[in-house]
Amino acid sequence: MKYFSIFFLLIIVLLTLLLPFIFTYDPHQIDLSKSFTGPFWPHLFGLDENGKDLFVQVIYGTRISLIVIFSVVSVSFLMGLILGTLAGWMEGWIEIVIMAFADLVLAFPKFLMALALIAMLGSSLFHLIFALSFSTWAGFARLTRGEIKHLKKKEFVLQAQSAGAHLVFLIYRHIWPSLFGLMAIHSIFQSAAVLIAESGLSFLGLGTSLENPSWGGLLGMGRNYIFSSPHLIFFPGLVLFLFLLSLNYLGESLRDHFDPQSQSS
Amino acid sequence: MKFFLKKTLVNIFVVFIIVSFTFLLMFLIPGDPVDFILKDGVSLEDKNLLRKEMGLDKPLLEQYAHFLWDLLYLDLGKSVHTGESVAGTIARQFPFTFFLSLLSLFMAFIWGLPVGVLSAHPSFKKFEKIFDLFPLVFFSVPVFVSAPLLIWFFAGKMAWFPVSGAGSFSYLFLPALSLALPLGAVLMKITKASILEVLSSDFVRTAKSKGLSTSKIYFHHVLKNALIPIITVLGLQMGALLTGTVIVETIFDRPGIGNLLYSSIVSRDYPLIQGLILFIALIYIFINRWTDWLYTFFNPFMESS
Repeated sequence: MKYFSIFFLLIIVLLTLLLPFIFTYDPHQIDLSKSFTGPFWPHLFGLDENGKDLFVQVIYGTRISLIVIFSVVSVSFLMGLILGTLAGWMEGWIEIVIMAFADLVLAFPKFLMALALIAMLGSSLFHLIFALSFSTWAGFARLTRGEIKHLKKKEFVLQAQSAGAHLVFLIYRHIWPSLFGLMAIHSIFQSAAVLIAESGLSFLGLGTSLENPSWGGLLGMGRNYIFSSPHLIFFPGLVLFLFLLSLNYLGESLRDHFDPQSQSS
Repeated sequence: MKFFLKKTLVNIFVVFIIVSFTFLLMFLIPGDPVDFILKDGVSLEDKNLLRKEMGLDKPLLEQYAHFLWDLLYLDLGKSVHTGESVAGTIARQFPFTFFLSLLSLFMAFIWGLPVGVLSAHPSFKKFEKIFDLFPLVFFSVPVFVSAPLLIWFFAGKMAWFPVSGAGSFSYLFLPALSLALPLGAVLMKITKASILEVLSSDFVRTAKSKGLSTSKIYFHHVLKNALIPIITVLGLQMGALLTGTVIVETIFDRPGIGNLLYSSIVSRDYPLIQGLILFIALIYIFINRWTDWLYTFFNPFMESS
């Protein structure tokens, strides 16, 4: 199961990267005479309302989803790491201000916060990434700050400090590596959460442009033809499900590995 | 008492910040809000008239004070398209969302709790791997995947339920089910974790040494103690439920504040969006704080998290 989930994630990423070399036909190739055809060889997922190959569209849609996940999680990771370290190490009013802001952001559900921002800003890839990062960094910051406060009092840190280690060196070399496990687990779970939020927004037509729909966008278009062509929902849904399942499973087994004490999320 | 006072002050502060945030949202709109409301080809005088009417010509702080003052009278402005008051529209649509959420919560309990209880039971230990798969799988099916498939099968193939709209219970069933599936998965996980924690506590060992049977301990003592955290943690899932209604109500084309939010975003009805976001955020905060309070009430020794 663990190997399956890693294998599946790898396959998806590889397909996305290599797709232009494997498939010679264009994802935008329209053939109205064949619209809504079910799966047949070589069109594994069938064709959509314009006769475009659904499999190629799903793989191209992965690109958007992966770009969003990667950007949002890495921006939030960095922001959370730096702000959380500041808050945990400095304490005092800096901690109060940063954490008050983080708590405030966490007080809104992620999807709703992104929806509110996108409703006002208008939808585009950049706004999507901005809106999702805005609500994702806070969790990373809270996690980092807690760990930093805990690590600060550990012997190895005090020892390094008394040995005269420079503060930046100390944090970079000794403290951040100890954070890695927890941050990696959090990143994986957040990737799943970001993917759900992104797909949900795209499903409603509030995500990225409809020219290159992500998985959510494909599902959103497919739901209009749910009775005549359920394959338009079934296949993108299946890929999304397997992807989320792999992420969640990977996250859970990593958590059991790094932190066997905790049970609930 | 002091603790309670401090909590209340913090809550008032949080509400104040949320109100300010929703006020500031209006200034994120690129360009002039008046241009979105009026059609093309409107004269400059008319634009200025509307601007004056909406108070957009005043300085920012004055607009803010005005916004707060109106809010005291539950005046959230008027919908741009229907001209109806925003507060009235929300009040009319909210019951639909409320009953949908209530039913899905109920259904989540019906299917999440028993599975969670069974999976933690010592005699089902050998099936643990299979039971653990349930929450993992159902948590990985977002509502926008499950809802269309449920429609396809139960409303299309089987024709047991109506496809969309609102009315009797049969209209409510599928939307509530699609929300209840992931919610029940979370419930299962919490239930199992909570029961396992209680199982390892001292009083269970005492009960065992007294010679009580395993099932008696399990169903009489453990479950009662495990339920409290389950109920409180569930409150934290209300956020997911509220956001889920936006998608589910849109898919099933049901009336409710989620569908209202979606349609107001599509039609760029900014006062309505603002009012709805404020309303949903306040409900969310209210439930969260209430859950927090419930948690400290049942665990007096624990500082609330």
